[in-house]
Amino acid sequence: MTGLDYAIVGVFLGGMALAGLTISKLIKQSDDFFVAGRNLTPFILGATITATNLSMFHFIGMGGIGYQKGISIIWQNWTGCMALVLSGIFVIPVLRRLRVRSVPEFLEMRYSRSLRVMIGAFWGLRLCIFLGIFLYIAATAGVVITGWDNYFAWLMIFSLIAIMYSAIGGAWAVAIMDSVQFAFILAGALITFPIAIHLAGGLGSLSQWFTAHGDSVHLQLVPSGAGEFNWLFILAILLISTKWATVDQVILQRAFGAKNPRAGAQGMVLSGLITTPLAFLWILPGVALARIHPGISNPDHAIPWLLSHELPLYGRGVLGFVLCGLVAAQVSTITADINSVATLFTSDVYRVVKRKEPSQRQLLTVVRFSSLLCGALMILVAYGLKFTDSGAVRANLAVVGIVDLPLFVITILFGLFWKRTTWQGAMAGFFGGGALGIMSYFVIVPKYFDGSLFPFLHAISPWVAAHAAAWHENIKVHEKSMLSIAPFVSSGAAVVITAVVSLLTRQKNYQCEKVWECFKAAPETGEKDDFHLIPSSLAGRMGLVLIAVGFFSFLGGIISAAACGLPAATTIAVGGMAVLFVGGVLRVYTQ
Amino acid sequence: VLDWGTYAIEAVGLVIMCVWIVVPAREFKRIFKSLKEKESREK
Repeated sequence: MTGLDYAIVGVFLGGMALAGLTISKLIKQSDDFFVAGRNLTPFILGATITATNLSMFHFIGMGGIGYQKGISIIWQNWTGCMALVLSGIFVIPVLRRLRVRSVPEFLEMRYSRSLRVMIGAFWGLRLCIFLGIFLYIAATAGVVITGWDNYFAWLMIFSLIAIMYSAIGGAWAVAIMDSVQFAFILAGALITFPIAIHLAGGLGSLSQWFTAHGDSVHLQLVPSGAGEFNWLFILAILLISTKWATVDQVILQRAFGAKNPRAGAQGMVLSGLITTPLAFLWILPGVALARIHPGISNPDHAIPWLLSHELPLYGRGVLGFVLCGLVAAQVSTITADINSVATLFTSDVYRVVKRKEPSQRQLLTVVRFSSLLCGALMILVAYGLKFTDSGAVRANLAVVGIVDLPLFVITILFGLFWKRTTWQGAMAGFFGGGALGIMSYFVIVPKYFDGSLFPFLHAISPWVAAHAAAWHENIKVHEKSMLSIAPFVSSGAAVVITAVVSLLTRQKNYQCEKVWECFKAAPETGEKDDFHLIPSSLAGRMGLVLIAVGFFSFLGGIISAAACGLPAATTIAVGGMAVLFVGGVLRVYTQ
Repeated sequence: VLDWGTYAIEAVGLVIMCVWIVVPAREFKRIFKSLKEKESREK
């Protein structure tokens, strides 16, 4: 890295900090901080949701998996994009109409106040872990790209700038800066992508090279055989993505800032639509690098190697400019997450536990203090991650697969679609699903079984331990598929436990009629609200039909790849996804 | 060595970048104008 590169990044960071301070003047009350005063339009939402979603996790983490395992990791993005369309049309309008600020607030309306506080606190801590993973990627990239081997210093540089402007500027700073950062992220990706493909000899030559080296699976979008990122992974990641787009506080909070339910739906669909083609920009450079420079063992080091060794050859300052895009991606995600954690702690824990309604000034003080606390926790997690070697993508997918899906089950599946669900059932399903998700790792992965579960069982009963060991021998071959198995275990367990406990308990005198009313338009709020779940126009209904056809074609493509290795499976799956997008756009722009 | 696939992905990316610079900038301008008007009316 040259002095010019450092100067470009320095000016960019300074500019962002200054912008955060300027935007803080817009903060008059807590709603401005949490949901940008609910003024955001579809295109701004599209940009802010996309920029919030994109981070170094995509460019470095997923690009690294593209390098190591192949292009099929792109489904992590694509299933997310499909889920954004589905959530925007079927879930966001209902939640936006309720005028909630967070998912736990919805849980209070639907179930109970205690569940709101518990999930709010738990989810805030969970997001801090997520942030720690993001910060770890940023600091690792900083070390590899610059050669300045001071991991802790990089942690501090990345976190301080993000904490500063999210603690001061809130959701307005996130929304405005996300739009600016989105342009920088794209510009950086648009420079790196052709350079990587050029170095690999072009896409056609890359394909021939993989075939000649007996590694054609590297370029298979839907791998039908065994492997970590095969068809089963695509189905599992679809489940995780549905959760992400329907209950992830960071994404929903951006959508809650929409000026009305239709704008929220349009923003979500637009974000899904634009992210889909862009996903090639961060996956393909990793795939190309497998030819340019094979042999990097840690996938998180692959893209930083490409940036630090190849980009400077294309002109002075190019690396600095691309790094601005990467830093923008990282900071936009970290700030949005910090803003969400602050919202959870303030709105769902402090405000509910404090019996007297706090003043706007007290709320803003608490929300800023929560942002600082979240920043400190994120640094601690990132520091701990330095001592693991599994890579950021795997670490994130493991956490998401275990603890996030039960929240989706109790909030969306049962919260919106089964009136009989009780708060006892929801709480049991959330914690039971998460616990069984963790257990699946201890039962299947030899490292955890031999190190923890077997000694524990042996201490209780040698007979039980011997039988468990025999069972473990049969199933340990599935260790490589854990990222796909754990989500099904945790969500399946949450479904069963929530249903059984709800049937065995009774929720007395709890009023959640407001939730059911919001399935219809609610004109009494005074804002323009003409988005109905069942459309009134022919074009709108056509949109819904296309969404259904597209979704089931996608599923058919993935399952046919698994069942018989159908050569057209990829075409059917990708075609189904495209039809779903067309249906989504038709639906949100018609009555 | 760049082929049509690379050019197509680049072109789509460039179009998205241009649209998402122009449209949100205009919309932010409009939002802040209406917020300012609302504030001056309240005063």
